[in-house]
Amino acid sequence: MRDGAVIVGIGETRVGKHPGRSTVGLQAEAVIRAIRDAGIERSEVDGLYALGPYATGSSMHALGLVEYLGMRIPHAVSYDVGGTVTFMGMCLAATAAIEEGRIEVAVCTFGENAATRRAPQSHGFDRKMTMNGEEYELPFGAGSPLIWYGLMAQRYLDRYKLPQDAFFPIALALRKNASLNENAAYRELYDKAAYDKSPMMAEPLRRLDSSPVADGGGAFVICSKRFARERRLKHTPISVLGVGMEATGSSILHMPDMDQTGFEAAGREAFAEAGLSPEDVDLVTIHDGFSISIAMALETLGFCGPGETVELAARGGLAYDGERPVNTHGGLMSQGHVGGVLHVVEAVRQLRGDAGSRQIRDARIAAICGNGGPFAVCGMMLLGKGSC
Amino acid sequence: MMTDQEVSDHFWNSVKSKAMALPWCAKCARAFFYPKPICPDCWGEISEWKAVSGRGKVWSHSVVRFPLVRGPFEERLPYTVAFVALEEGPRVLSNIVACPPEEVKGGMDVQITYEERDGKWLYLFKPA
Repeated sequence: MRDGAVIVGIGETRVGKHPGRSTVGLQAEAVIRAIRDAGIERSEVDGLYALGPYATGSSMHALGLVEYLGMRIPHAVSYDVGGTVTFMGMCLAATAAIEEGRIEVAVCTFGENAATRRAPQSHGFDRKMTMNGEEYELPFGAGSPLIWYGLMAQRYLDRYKLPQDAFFPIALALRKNASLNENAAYRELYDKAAYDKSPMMAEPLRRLDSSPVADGGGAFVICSKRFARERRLKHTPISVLGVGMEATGSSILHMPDMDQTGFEAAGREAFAEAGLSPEDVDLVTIHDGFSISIAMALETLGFCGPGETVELAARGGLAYDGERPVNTHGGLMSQGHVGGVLHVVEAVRQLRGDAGSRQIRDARIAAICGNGGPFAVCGMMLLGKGSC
Repeated sequence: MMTDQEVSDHFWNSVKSKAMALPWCAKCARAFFYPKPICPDCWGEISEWKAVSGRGKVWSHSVVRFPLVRGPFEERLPYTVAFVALEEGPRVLSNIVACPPEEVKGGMDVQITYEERDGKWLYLFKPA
C-alpha cells in the first residue's frame, strides 16, 4: 500500500572550518542530533542511507558509519545520485522500503571534512574519482566545476543579453539570507564594489558567485506515518509529497543546454505527484553550487519567468519575507557547501515553523531543487507540513 | 566492436594527423562526440570515421583567470575554454586561441587548428 513517509527529525553540525573532524565523525554527529531531535531511540532505527565523501574516495561508506555509531542495523546503504538529488533518492528508497514493510525508520545523512582535509591550494573539490570523458576535458584546462558552470553562466548571459556582473544580486541575496543564520560560515554583507573586487575565477563567475567547501554534516529521520502517529513524536511531521528526477549524463562534455536539463521532467513529475504547482510553494531550496544554479533551477522549474531571476533577486524577492523565498539558510554559497543535505534540513525547519528570525510566515509547502554534476542529474522534491 | 581504448586511439591519431575525425553512425546518420564504441542513439557500432570540416561556432565560453587547474595551465592564464558546436552537429570542448579573451563572443565563427601541447596533439579553435 502506498502510504508515503514523513520526516520527523533533523540534525545539523556546525558548518565551517573544523580541523580534526573526520567525515564519518561529522555524519555521526548529524545522525545523533537527528535521532534525538525526533525523540526516538537508536534501536528503533532500521535504515541508514549515507553518502560518502566527495573529496576523497570511499568504499562501503555507510558501513563505516554503522561501525562508528556502534549500530547493528538491517539496512545500511551507501547512496549516491549526485548533489542534492542524492537526498531525494534517499527519501524515495527509504519510502519504498517503509511501504514494503521492510523498515520503519531510516536516517539519511551526508557530511564531509571537505574544507580542512582538502589538498593545499586546491580549489573546490579535488577530483580523485572520474566522471567520464576526462581525456576530452583535461587537456584544455577545463577540469574545474567553476569552468563548467562558467560556460553555462556565460551562455545564460548571452541568451538574455545581460552584463558580465549580472549575478551580483543573486549572490548578495544568499548572503543576506545567511546573515540571519548563526550556523552560516559566511555572513558578512558586501557591496557592489566588493563584489567587483572579488577574484574573477572563470568568467563570468567570481569567487563570490561560488560555494566555498566546508566541514559540516546534516541528517534527517524519515519514518512510516503509522510510526509517527503511534509514537506521538514531538515535531509536526513533514510529508514527502512528490519527487521527480532525471539523469542525462555525467561529465561537462554532455552538459545539456539550459532548456534541455532534467529539471523540466523532474518538475513535471514532482508537481503532478503532489498535485501542486509553483504558485503553491512557499520556500524553494536550491543546490546553489554557483549563482547561475539559482537562475537555472528557478526558471526551468517555473518558479519565475525565463531570464527574470536577477531582477527578482535585486528587488529582495529571494529573502524569507520576499515574494519567492530561496535558500533562507544561505545555501551552499553562504552557509557553506555541505552537499545539499542542509537544504532538506532547512526546508523541514521552515515547515515546522522553527526558523526563528528568518521564518517564512505560514510556510506549508517547500520545494527542494537541485542538480548533481554539471546539470548531469536534476531533481525536485516537494515537502508539505503535516498530514499523518 | 572496437574497444574503448581503440576508439580513443583512433580519435587522437586523427587529431595528430591534423584531420580530426568523429565516429559516424550510418543508421542514425549522425556523428557523435565524445567517441565511444557505440552510437548513443541506437547502440549500434561505429560505421565509419568522418573527418570534420573544422568549421564551427562558439556555443559558450569562459575565460579562466584564476589558477583553478594546477600544472602548466597556471602559466597560460588567462585562457579561454569553449564549447564549439561543429558544423557536423556535435559540440566539443576546447580552447579558443589566436584571439584575445575579451574578443571571444558567443556565436562567433571559428576554425579548427592543431597544436602540440605537453607532448600531445590537440584540436583547438581560432577565429574563422
